[in-house]
Parts: sequence; structure tokens; C-alpha cells
Amino acid sequence: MVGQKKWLPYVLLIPWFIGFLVFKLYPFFNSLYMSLFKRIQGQVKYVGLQNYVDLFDKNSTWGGLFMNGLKVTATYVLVTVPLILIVSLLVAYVLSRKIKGVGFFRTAYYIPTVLGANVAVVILWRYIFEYEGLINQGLSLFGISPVSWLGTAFGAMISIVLLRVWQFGSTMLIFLNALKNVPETLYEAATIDGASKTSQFFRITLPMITPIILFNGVMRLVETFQVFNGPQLITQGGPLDSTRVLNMVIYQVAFSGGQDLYTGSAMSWVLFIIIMVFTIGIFKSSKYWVYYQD
Amino acid sequence: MKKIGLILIMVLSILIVTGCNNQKDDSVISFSWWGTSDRSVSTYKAIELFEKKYPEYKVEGDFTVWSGYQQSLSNKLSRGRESDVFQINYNWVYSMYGKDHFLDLNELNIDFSKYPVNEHKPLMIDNKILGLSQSETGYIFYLNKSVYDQAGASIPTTWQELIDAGNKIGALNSEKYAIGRLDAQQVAMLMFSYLSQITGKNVIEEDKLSFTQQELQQGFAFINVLRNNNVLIPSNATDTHNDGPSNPRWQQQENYGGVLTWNTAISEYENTLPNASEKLVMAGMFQQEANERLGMYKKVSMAYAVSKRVTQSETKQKAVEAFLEFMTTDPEAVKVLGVDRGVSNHTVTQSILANDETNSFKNTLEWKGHDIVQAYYNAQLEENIDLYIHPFYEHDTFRKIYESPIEKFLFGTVTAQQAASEIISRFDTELLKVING
Amino acid sequence: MKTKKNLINRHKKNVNKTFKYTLLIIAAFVMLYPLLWIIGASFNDGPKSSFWIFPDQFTLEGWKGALKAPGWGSVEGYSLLRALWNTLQYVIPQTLFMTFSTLLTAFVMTRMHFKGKKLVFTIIITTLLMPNTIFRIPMFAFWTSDLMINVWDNELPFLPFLPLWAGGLFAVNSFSVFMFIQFFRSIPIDLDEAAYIDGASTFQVLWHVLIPVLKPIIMTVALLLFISSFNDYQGPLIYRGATSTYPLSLVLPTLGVDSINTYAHVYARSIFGVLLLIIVFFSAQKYFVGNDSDSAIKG
Repeated sequence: MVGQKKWLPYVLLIPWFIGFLVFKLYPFFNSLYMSLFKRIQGQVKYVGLQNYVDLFDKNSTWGGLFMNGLKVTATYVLVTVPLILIVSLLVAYVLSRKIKGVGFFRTAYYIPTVLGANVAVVILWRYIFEYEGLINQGLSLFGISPVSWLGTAFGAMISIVLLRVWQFGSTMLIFLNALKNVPETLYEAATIDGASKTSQFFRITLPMITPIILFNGVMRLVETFQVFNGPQLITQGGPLDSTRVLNMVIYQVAFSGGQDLYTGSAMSWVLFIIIMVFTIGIFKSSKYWVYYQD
Repeated sequence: MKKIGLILIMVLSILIVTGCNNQKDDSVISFSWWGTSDRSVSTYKAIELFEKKYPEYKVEGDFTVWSGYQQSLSNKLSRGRESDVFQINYNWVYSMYGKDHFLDLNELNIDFSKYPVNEHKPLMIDNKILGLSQSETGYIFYLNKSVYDQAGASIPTTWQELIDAGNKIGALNSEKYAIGRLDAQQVAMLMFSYLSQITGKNVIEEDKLSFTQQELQQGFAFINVLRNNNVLIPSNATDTHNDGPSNPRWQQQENYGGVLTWNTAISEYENTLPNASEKLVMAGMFQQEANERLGMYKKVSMAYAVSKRVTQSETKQKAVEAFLEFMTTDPEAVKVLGVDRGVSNHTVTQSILANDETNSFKNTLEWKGHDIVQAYYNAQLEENIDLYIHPFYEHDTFRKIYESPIEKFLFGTVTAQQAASEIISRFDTELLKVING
Repeated sequence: MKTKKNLINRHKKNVNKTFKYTLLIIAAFVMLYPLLWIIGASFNDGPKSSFWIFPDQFTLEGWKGALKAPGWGSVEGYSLLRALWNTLQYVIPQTLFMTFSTLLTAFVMTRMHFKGKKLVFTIIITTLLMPNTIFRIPMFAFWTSDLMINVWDNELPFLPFLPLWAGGLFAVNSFSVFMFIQFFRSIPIDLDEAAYIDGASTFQVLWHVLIPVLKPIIMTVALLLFISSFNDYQGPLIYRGATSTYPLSLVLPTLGVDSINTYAHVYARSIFGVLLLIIVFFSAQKYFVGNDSDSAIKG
């Protein structure tokens, strides 16, 4: 800052700029362009916004599946994101308050994320939720009759939500870092003034980490709107498409079965706009609850 | 700055060098296939034998699992980078625009007279043969004999006998079933086979659905009969294992007495069932009356397609011809490849396999299935019934039109009437859409 | 009087503590159990049907054949170590380059003034929100175009995986940029000012003052990048080159249960597939211990 050469920021941003042009801007417009075309009888023809209109038409080839995907994805996001934030924040908070063996716990809680969509996790998860699986075995101990978890829309949704929440490790790590940056002095002062631990949490901790809550919230939102591995591997979108999230539909349309890159691009664009709307909303609201240091 | 310059030079030189080395040697054949590692190992063994016999040629194998293969192939085709020889499903000749992208095998020196006259007809568009058939396959039942033996039930040949067996098996243990769990794809085949027996029609005729609302409802009613008599499970919600072979009720508890699958795919179920060789029997397609031979659909199971670039080089063309000939007629190679890709109808291939005493291929479940599929299909032809699977029947997008309503029916969320009318309402229009691309 | 209160309070504290630790340990158990289960399954003969960790029927078969990949490239197959090395050939460049380039970008965004900063920031946030599918299709066309395909469709080191790590050079991971930005912003500017007053140059401030404070978050970002790159299944599938360049994510699915591979093999190999990740994670732990930015501000 003092004596900073004027051109330095621009030079240092060149890699980012190239990345933006080649990896973001070009594909961005290219896919928008593609979404205005359609393959009819082997020929690629310009169809304007027809692809988009078709997406909301129950009787078009993909309309029904797309609208179902919207519903499924929205449900998934609205349940999963708050859950992840709450669970990971609570655990991070507990771990940040001088616990013995913090390293061990941090590792343990992170292992699920590391395992990712490993084939063994998939097998195990299905084993837990299947009709004769672990949960129903447990229920039978209490005399409750078995529930068809993977055979009902509700149960299947629970299984994939839980899979994602089980992998709260990264979010927790980020919160841990943020919590570490809250100066100890603030807590000390509050304790001297007689504030309880709970009140300290709500009046010191939370406000101080609001930038990170915003960050995690937005990131999780964007990411969960694009969820793929869980539903693909655990429930295969079933039963009866009740967990067929948008990204699965796009994959099916553009890459596997459908081979229709044009409709796939249109779907990606609708997804993008939805994510934009939600995120702008959250950012606008952040004025009222996020507190920055600088 | 210097570092950046050095890197740039390095990158440029690599680009130049690799660009120049773009042309692969024409005596190297690239060959891609999908399957399990079993198939891969045996294919590589055959490749080794080929390279030993023809030291002037090399084969680069490219093997992947099923999921992702089609997408990968499609991408490669659009870039002109497909392998010289690649494995395909029969219906891809149509859905992947084979007439534009695959080589017309008439241009190669292949003796098609060794195959049955009509074998390659379904792979022909505009008189071009676009795939080399590996085998034909039919959708038939295989049963776990021990489940039947325990209940004192004999192996059924008619539907009624199947239902009786179901009752006996269920009486012994209500958790056991004569067949067990079938998914939408399998139930579709079961229903259509059943209806074809009754009506004499192929499910798709002249690119339209041939069954009426009543007939479909009749089919659904029959499924319900099976479900009420311990042949099939009452609702697919009570068993959520989507993968048949690994379903514990099949492989460990042996509560399920049978499977319905392509005869070329039975090894998946064999691999997971303990002592399968003693338990699994081939049961063909159950009939309305004893001694009938109806309701047998078949199709080419898989084929080898060849890239158009092969004919651009004489060396490459000769190499590919030698390779295809070798894989079909060399005794060692044929035995090593076995019946994993089905039982070939090529006269030489089949006789090598039939006469192999060490492996006794004729006793495999695939072979037994193959025999019955061929026999029944031909018997039907004599009655002017052609149940060849329509090229778009298994199209990824189209198949949802009939599989979705069936799935809902299996979960109990729609009635037979609703399912039938759902199928009818969109079948013809969607089929036309995919046919016309 | 006071001592009694103290005793009661201390008792309360202990109960709280035990409660807290019990909860933590149960939660840790829930998190770790699947991994333990998988390890147990890799020693099990046949499919694992019970939920307990310990194998019903013990066997070493799975582990004996764990490093082999029959059918991969030949009858014998290459070793899985080769697949691991293939994976590393894109994971390592991606992690290293991306961490550095995004850190640098965030530094410029938060610690320098220049015209157009707001615009750049908006662009970064916007790209953050775009679903990957928008980029996937055109980028694929780009990498498989005649111009680019020869650069990576070969068998040289690192290059066959270029589409999977080229982005790292150009800070394309907006998530990391955004994260660094947020964490830079939580460090008071006084730190910088103090160093500038002492005569430090821009780079010296970055290297000697800011980076040490940011070390934990840098390690976090690097670790997250490492993990997501390692667990990327779709990328390698789309950009498949020569068979010998297949990474773990392409080789492992081919080794399902059949006449050569048993369930134990499948589980053992899948453990091998994550082993490196776990080791890396454990070793990265030491960078998270210790509390840094306070000490720099105090006094």
C-alpha cells in the first residue's frame, strides 16, 4: 500500500483473468448459445427459447422429469443446508473450547468427508437403510414394525440428507478456523463481567463469525443445489424419481441416455438462475446480520 | 520472467513433438470393450494369443465398466477418436447414427455366410452391415432348484405350474418366493412375453404399441396373480435392493427362487450364489399350456463395430480383418473367450465351443439358455410370430415411457388401469420422437 | 461457605465435562464406524452381512490381491500403485498451483487498491454460483478439439491429466479465492501497516506477515482441494486417455465381484483407494494445532 506500484495488482491478477476468460466466460456464453439450439431429425436447428419452454411443459420429453427435479432439489437444499450449518458449528464450537485430544476428534469428524463417495460407503449406507437393514433391525428391538426407508420418497430423502450431513467435516474445519480467530480477550472480558457461556456464544462468538457463516451458508447452498454422488449411488434417484435431483437429470440428458447437450445446457442455465436468485437474496440480507472487521 | 519463458518453450516443444507423433502405427489396432474384470482378463489372453500368431500386429486394449462406456464412446465418435474396433449394444447402431459413423462391414473381408441368414438383418441400415454380431440373447427364467426342492415343488414349465410352486414354497415359509423381486425392466419383459403368448403380437409393431388398454390391464392383472401366490413379492417397497445379484435374499438367505434375465447375463447371478452350479437351472419362458413354445423375445446381444477410418489404410484394414477372423475362428482364442459374450451363432465358433471337452461349454447356463431361445424363437417364426426386440425398445429415454408406470404399479402408487393408460398415452408419440432423432 | 459453593461448581463442571466428552466420543464413533466396518469387511470371506466390525469369516485373500488389478491393460494387469501415481499426477499439481494462485488473487483483492476491484469481486462471486454443468460441456469440447487434444492425449508424465489440473494455474476455484478473501478480511490491516512502516515491500508483507497468520487456513484450503481432486470421479471419466494412464477412480470400478475378485478384494482395494487421503489428512494435522492471529495482535 505504501509505495505500491500502480501496475502491480493488474499484473498479479493476470492468471486469474486468463482463467476467467478461458474457463468461465467462454464456456458460459457457449453454453447459453447451445441452449438455443436443438437437434431435430439429425440436424441442429436454432429454436430460440423453445428448450426453456419445454422444460416447464409436463408433456415434453424432459419437462416432467425436470420439474420433478426442481421440487426434489429444493426440498433437499432447504433441509440439508441448515442442518449442516448447525451441526458443524456446534461441533466446531465444542472443539474450539480447549478440549483434550482436539486433533483426534477433528480427524474423526473429518473422515466421512475424506471417504466421499467411496464404494464401501455406498454399500454400508444402503445396508443401514435397507428394509432388513440396520435401522429396521434397531426398530424391531423396540417392537416397531420395519419402515421401507429406501422404498418411500420420505425415507429415501432422509437417507441422502443424512449422508451429506454425516460429511460435515469441511464446513466444521472452516468454522474451527473462524472460531480460532475470535480474540480470547473478548471472552475473558465477558467472563469477568459475569456473562454465561451460552450468552457469550450468542453475543460474542456468533456475531464475530458471521462473515464465515455467510460464506459457509452460501457455499453449501450452491453446492447442495448441485448434489449428485449421494442420490446417484445410494438411491439411484428412486424410488420413483423422488430423489432424482437436478444434476442427475442434467447428467442423464446431456451425457448418459439422452445425449442431448442442448436441453442439458438449457437445464444448467435454469439451475444457474435459481442459484443466483437465492444467493443474491442471502447477500442482500447479509447487510442486516453480518459484521465485518474492516 | 526467465522461468516463465523456459516453461513456455518446454510446452511449445512438447506440443510440436506430440503433434508430429500423432499418427499411430497402422499395424496397431485399438479395441475397446466393457464388462467385468473376468471378461477383461480373458479378452487380454485372447489378444496375447493373437499377437503371438501375428507378430506384425499389436492390439491396444481399452477396457472400462459398463457405466460411462456409452457416453465415452459417443464423445469419441463425435471427435473421430473412437477405437478401430469397439463393442456395442445392438440398438446403438440406431441411436448412435451408425449409418453415418460406423464402417459398413461389407467393405471388409468377412464371411457372413457362416452366420445364420437373418442374424445381421437387425444390424443393417440401408443395406450396410454396421456391427459384427457376437451372439443373440433372450430374456428367460433361471431358477434356484434348492428352493423348489425344499418345498417339494417341481420345476415348472407353465404359468399355472409356476403359481402352484409359488403356493407350495410360500406355504413352507411365507418369506420365500418362487421368483422373488423383479424390477420394472424385468416386469415389462414378463408382461410383454405373457401378452405376446396370448395375442400373438410383438409389443411394438410398425413402430407402434400393439397392445390395447384391455390387454395391458390383463397383463397387470396377471402380475397381481403372481404377487398373490408367492411368485413375486407383494410390493417392491419391501425390498429395496436394486441390484439383483448382490441382493442378500438371493445370495445368502435364498428366499428368492428365480431370476429373469438375458441368458448372456446369468453369470452375474452365478457369481454371487454359493454352489450355483448345483442349484441354478435354466427354466426358459413359462407357457400358457404345456408343450407350447411362445413368448420368446430375442435380439443380438452385443456386436463389434468398426471405425470408418480402418478402410483408409490397407495395413490397418488387413490387421482388423485378421483380428476379427482370429477372435471368431482361432480355436485357442475362442476357448479362452468362452461364452462370456454369449454363444456365438457363427458355425465355426460354435463348433469349437461345442467340441471343447475340458470346458464343456454346452453345459453352461448361457448355452442352455441359448438353445431354448433359438428353438422357441424359430418355432414362433413358423407360426408367423416375430418377437424380435425393436431397435428402440431399450432406448434410454424412451424406455422410461413404459418402465415408469410399471414401476409405480410395483410400488402400489397407481392402479393397473392408470398404469396402462399412462403407457398408452405417450408410447407412440415418444417412440416416433426418438426414431426420428 | 465459599468452599462449598466452589465444590458444587466444580462438581457441576465435571459433570458437564463428562457429558461433553461422552457426546463427543459417541459422535466420533459414529463418524469413524463406517471406516472401521469397511476395514473389517476387507478381512471377511464373502459379503458382509452383519453390522459388527469383526469379520464373520476371516481371510487375507482380499489383501493379498489388493494391489493387483487383473484385466487392466493386460491379463496380469498393472499394479494399483500405478493407478495411485496416475491419480497423484493430477491431484498434486492441482492442489499446489490452485492454492498458490487463489491465495495470490485474494491477496490482491483485499490488500491492494485498484480500479475495477468491485467488478472483479462481483465476477468472482458470480462464478461461484454457476453450476459446474454450465462449464463442463463447452470445456470438454475445448479440450477434445484438434488443437488441444494432442497436448494431453499421450503417455508423458503429468500431461495426460492436464484438463484436470490446468485450471489450478489460473485460480479458477472461486471457492478458494472467496475463502481466502474472507479470511484475509478478518485479519486487521494494522498488521500490514506495521510492516510497511518498518519498510517492508508488498511481497515481504505477504510472505512474512500474512502467510504465517493464514497458515492454518492455507493448509485447510490445500487439504480441501486435495480431497476434492482425489475424489473426483467424473473428470477422469470424461478425459480418458490411454489405458495406462487410468487413475484409481477409473480402475477400481472395473474390479467388481466376479470369479476372480471376491468381496474382500473389493473392500481391500477401496481402502487402498482412500489410504493416501487419510495419511495426508493425518499429517496435515500439525498445521492446525496452535493459535496464531491473537498473539500477533496482542501487545
